[in-house]
Amino acid sequence: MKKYIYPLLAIILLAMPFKADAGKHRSYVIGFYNLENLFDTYHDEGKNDYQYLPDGQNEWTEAKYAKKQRNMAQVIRAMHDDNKCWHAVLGVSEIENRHVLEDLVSEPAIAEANYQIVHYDGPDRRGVDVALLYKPEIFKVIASESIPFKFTPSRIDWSQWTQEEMDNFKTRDVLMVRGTIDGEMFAFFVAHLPSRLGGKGADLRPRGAEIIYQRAMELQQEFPGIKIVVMGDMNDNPTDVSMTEFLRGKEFISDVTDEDFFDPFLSMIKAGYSSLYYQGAGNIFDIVMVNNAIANAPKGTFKIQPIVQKKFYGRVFSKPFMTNQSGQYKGTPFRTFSGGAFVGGYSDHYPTYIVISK
Amino acid sequence: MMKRLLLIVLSLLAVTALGAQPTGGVKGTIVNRNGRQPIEKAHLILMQGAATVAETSSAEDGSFFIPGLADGMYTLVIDAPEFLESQVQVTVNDGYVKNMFNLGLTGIQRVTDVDDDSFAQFDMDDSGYNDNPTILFGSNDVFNNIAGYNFSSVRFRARGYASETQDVYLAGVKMNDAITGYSPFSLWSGLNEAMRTKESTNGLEVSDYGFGGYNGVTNIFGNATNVRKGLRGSVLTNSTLYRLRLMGSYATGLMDNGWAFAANVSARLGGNDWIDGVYYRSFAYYLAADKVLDDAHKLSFVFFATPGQRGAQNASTQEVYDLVGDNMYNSNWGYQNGKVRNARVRKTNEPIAILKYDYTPSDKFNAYVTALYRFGKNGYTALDWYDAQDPRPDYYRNLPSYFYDANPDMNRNNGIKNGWANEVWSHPDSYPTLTHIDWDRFYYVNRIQTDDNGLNRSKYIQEQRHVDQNDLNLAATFKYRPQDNLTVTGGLNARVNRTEYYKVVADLLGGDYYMDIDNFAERDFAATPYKLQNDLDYYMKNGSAQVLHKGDKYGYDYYAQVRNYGGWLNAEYTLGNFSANLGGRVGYESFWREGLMRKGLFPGLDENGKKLVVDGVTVEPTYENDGSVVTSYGKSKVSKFMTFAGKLALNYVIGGSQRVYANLGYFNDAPRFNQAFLSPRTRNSIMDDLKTIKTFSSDINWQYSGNGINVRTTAYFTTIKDQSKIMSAYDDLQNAFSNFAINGIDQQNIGVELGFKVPTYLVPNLSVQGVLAAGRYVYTSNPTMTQTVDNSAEVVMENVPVPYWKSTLLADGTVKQHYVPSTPQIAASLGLAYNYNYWFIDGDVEYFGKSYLDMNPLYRTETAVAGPDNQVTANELAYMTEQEEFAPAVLVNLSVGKSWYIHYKYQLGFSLNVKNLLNNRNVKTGGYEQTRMVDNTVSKSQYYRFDSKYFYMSGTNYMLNVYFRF
Repeated sequence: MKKYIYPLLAIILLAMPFKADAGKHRSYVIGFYNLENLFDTYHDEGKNDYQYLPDGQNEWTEAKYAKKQRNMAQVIRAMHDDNKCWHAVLGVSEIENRHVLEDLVSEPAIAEANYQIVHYDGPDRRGVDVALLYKPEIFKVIASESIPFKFTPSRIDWSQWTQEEMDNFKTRDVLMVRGTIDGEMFAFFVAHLPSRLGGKGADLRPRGAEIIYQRAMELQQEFPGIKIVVMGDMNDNPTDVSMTEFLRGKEFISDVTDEDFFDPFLSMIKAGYSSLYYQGAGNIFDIVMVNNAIANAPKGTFKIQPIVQKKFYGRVFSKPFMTNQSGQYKGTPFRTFSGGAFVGGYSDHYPTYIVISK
Repeated sequence: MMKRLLLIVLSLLAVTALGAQPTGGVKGTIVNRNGRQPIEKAHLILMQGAATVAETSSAEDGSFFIPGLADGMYTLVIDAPEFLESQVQVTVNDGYVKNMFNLGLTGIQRVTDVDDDSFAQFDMDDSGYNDNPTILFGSNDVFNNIAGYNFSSVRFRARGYASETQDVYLAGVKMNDAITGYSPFSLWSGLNEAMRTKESTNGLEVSDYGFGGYNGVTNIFGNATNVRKGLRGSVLTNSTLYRLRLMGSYATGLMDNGWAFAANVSARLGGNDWIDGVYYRSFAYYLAADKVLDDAHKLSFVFFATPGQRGAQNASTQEVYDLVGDNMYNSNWGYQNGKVRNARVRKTNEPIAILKYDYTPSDKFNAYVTALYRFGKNGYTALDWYDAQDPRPDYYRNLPSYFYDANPDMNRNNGIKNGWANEVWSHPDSYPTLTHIDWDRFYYVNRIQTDDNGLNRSKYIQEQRHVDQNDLNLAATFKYRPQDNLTVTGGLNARVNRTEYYKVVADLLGGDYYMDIDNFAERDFAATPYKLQNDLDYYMKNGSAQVLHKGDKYGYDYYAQVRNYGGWLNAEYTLGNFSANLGGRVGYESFWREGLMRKGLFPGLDENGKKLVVDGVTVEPTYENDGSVVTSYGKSKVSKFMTFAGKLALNYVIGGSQRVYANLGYFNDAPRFNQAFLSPRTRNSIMDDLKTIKTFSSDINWQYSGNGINVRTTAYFTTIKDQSKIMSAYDDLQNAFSNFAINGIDQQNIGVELGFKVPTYLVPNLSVQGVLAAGRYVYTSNPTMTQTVDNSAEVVMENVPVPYWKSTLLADGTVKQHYVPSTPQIAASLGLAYNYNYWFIDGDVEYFGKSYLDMNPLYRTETAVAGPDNQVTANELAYMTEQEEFAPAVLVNLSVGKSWYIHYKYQLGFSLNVKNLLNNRNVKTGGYEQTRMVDNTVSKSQYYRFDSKYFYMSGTNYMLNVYFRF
């Protein structure tokens, strides 16, 4: 059925004297993709990018960099081919700098999308940041900010941390970009919360969630009716406290109030969907959630839509080419490196996305 | 180094520059995103907050440079006619000039309209995706993880299946031995790094690499890109096999030029704490290269071998173990000039060469073709003797029981000799020449056998029995996914195997020569010299048997020829949470024997089909049942079999973490060479009525995987019908070495498996794990047996039933069931696993029960049970047909390991495994009944069984591995 709609619509459009978008059902795709160490081959002064240099441990040469960029663009393109449209907004993580984003959006496979970039150099030791790619004809940026990770004030008990440890702790900032789509005010948060390596991270992710939540509530105060999307590699599952308590991610739209978020991936992880695997067990760390203004949207405004099996409001995007087809990691994402060797894959994460529609 | 120096200099400069003009800045090039041409005269405003810091324009080549910036965050606003305005966040840090490389601007006309590509056309009624969750149930099977490692010490066999039913593939080629079907792991032992990457399926599951049987498929990749990149070294010491293993590997990983190289070498050396005479002197090397031609084409080359030797262990009777006070006693060795020498040493050097071509034109289709060639030499030494008593120390005539038995019927009353034998065996260290092989005596005896020419004809020699394979394999396999929910796999395979069986004189043990005659035949046919000849053609040509020197081939020499050709196809279809697999395999298998030496006992006819004339006498041939001439020479009848198999699997995923699945399979498999020829060393005679083996297998499974919990339970039911078996043994009733062909063995394996790993929740990172395997593996038929005398092909019994094979109906009306032997039918393990910060600690308690001794069919015949008086009594029936059940065993094991990363680059680690912490030294792991009976009794009313022989597990033992990787 779907394949007939497209030409059919084209015919209707040609026959109509109006502007192309007049009276049409508009759905926009909003998603997140962890690009797994998208580094260029140059050293960034002051950053620990030594693994990803031509003479570094990963022997990160122009040839490997070109292949990696091609692969990232291939995935974004594949999502376009499935959805028959480009993401209106795509949050990304694990990118080294503006340069790699400039190269990515210029990749032939996706250049036609004309993605614009919002990016700040963050304080992460390895120099990996988050960023937002957006289509300028849809999303009109008004403001952006890079929100630093701060320990206090918080309802988390930091007694296990010394002041020195807290002072020396560096992680990625959270990116917030505010603007309009079809005249409606939107804010997008892109986060990459602290990783699970090392025991103390268990407190850091709730704190990261808290920072996002606090800022989101401020925006709701400041811009009543603002539609907020929080996305990122949370390094926690939708079932973990950082997402359920600190970001108040609810499983069901009917439970969502103005103080909550709707987390479409909470029901999906319970159903067995995974965006990455750790020791053979599936996780969804790549989460896109929306506030009440999108979950229970006023009539005639953008609302989140079910897109998988008519009941799930999120999608984990995986295609066989992004997946190991053999070996001990069969069925898991096909990575760039395996056991320290370049294998030419994609990412250890699958992208996730939602669809909003008026 | 230069870079680091530069860094230091630069940071010094930055420090000295403090207070002076800031050194930071920003530079870059403004380009058109579409085509990347430079944009000249783009207007750049650098702002900090709302304040303008600098303003400039791009040069002709698009470049710009804004110097003199203090550390901080800036916004660069770029504006050019006909382009979208762009805002770029710039962070200047540590006084560096930030290079933004290319900053692309997008042309206005390209984005003014919202076109169809900007928004999705989801019609909410019919659109959306039908993605299903992918839960990795297959990898890391919780049952196999625990059972596979922990249960190996008791020779546990999953579901009671023979080990040869497990298909092992290397680079896509099935490697199970062509003659015996045995697992081929020893071909690459010591190459752990090179062979680490593998993919396994369980039970009846079809693999991407082959159709498989009912006991899983393991494919080892073995090519260069699958060896972990970098340099690795490890040192391992072990108290049950060898003292020292040194291993090193190096792999480049896939390089930018498309090549990947890998090497792995190892040495395994020394003896162990438990079994004297067992040692390793084994080496291994592996070289591999992969060449990626482009995205679609890849070539792999692999060459490896594991040359070396190791001393073997031998089973003894409980009488011997009890007398010497050690269940680990090994009768294979003795002292020579005060040094330990093992009589049975396996010596192998079987290189394998692989050429593989991978074709991956799209992500929907991939295929590969592998050619694999195995060759070289494989043999083991054994003692051979002429005109002398069996020189093995634990030969039954050397033991106290041979001289005295409390049962008067046994007629063993020599108390004095019994006393001497007891004295000797109770003090093995005081009588090493009697309780171990007496090499010094062999040399002494061999040196005094001086003939007329002043040369010594050895009475004892060490022979080496060779099984040298030439095994050529071709396999082509494909995987095709025409749509996301349908996958079709299939392949073709061909195997040409020619294995030469022969023996050579390995050591004359001080003598000058040995003669190529059959000393068993000499006992029966001393008056007819040609009948003693192992090589009648040599005798006819030279008038006497060959005088043998070291390295000469003698005794027997024949080819086992095996040809296998087949193809398979499997389709997997997914519909929602449901998926189904349907597959089939067909094959053509044939084998024959090709005698290379004409044996005097079975000379057959000459090349013209005429009767042979030897020493002026016409040799009357003997005939097989089908009328053909019994012969040792030339090509035998070719046994041909059409094989086929089918499999059906159904799988249903429930929610996000459970699935229920079931498998069904039917297999019609050819018997193997070693199950068909009655006495392949002497003649072409083959078992009459050789049948294919018919197996029906089924299982139903439930699996849970989620929240750190892994559980699998399985119930299975399998019947295997029409199995055959060949045995050779000395028959005391016939006073002749005999061949026993057993036909029509049916068995049924039924049971349950449970494996689980569950977090304790109380202690972080601590899990409880365990397995339970409870089965009932029984014989369900009484096979028939044909006994022929090895020296004459005379048929002693033909297709006589073995009525007490599957069970015995005792006089009191109870039925004693007989079981499939050589594995515990109940095995359980319960333990804790701790895993944190590169530490792991695993401990478990294991229980093994209902393990049975392998039965010989002779004891279950009417003849054996009835005794010389041909009267079956209740006692005889119970005694003769009984199958021994091993005592249950409880074992405790502990493993601990840790690894450290040094500078994020080097890894140092160790693992220590201690097995059998309770030092239980009474655990039988296997053994066999001797196919011999005592018949010279007083009453002549019953036969007595010879004592069985056993292998035991060693007591507390450890393995320590220290490794370094960089």
